[in-house]
Amino acid sequence: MADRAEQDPREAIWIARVVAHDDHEAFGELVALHQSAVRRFLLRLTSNDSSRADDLAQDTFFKAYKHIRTFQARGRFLSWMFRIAWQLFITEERGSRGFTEVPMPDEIPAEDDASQRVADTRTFDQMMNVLRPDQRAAIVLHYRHELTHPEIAEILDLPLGTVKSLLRRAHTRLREAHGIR
Amino acid sequence: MEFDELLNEDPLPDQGFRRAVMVRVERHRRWRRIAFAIALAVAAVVALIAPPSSVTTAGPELIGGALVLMTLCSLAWIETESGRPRMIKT
Repeated sequence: MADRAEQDPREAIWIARVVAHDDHEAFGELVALHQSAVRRFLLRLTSNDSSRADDLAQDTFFKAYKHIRTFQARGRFLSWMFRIAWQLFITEERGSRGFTEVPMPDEIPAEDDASQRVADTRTFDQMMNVLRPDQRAAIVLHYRHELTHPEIAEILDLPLGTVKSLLRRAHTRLREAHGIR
Repeated sequence: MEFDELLNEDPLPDQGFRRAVMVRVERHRRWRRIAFAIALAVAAVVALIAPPSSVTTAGPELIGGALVLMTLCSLAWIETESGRPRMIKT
């Protein structure tokens, strides 16, 4: 969970090359750098629907390419990408079916069962599904990507107070349901 | 269990994702070049078929042609550049 610390110094150069020269290779490097974070973020939002998440991720990068000249270097590029991804997800969600509720897992393994790391992660995905997409997004952005509350508020286009209560409620919900600290 | 522990996952393998995005980007760039070439060609044809005297005697045909050309260029521009996502402020 050290995304902020691991920000690649070459990122700004690649962005500049795309903006100034429409550099195809530089944009490819940006895709390679951020594909995992954006796809994982969308996987969480889509309840692990990998095909839908990848379609949305492609749309996100394509939109970023088309509008990269409007990116202002005051913010992080990845945050900007998350914002585009969230907007595309919400637009699609509103256009199709509304928020998805996935049933709770039947069985949660014991906390000290460390031998099933993969199974734990899968179970955690199911746990996350008890949350609404906006709560899931806030949790991932805050705990996985270490974004601040104001940054999350920008990405989700919500007031700061709403983001704080969103996180608090999501945390409480997970703690009550599954004992996550 | 802690959030940090569970959310700290290995990076997703690319699995052709970058290539798929770049194909789409390349298609878009090609379309823009074609749109630009068409607009230029239309402008050239209009310039060629317009009689030299039309500069001084701008009639309804010339004005109409110019408007059509402007509309075509505008549509090409809007198609490739429309919409602006809001910025992240810090």
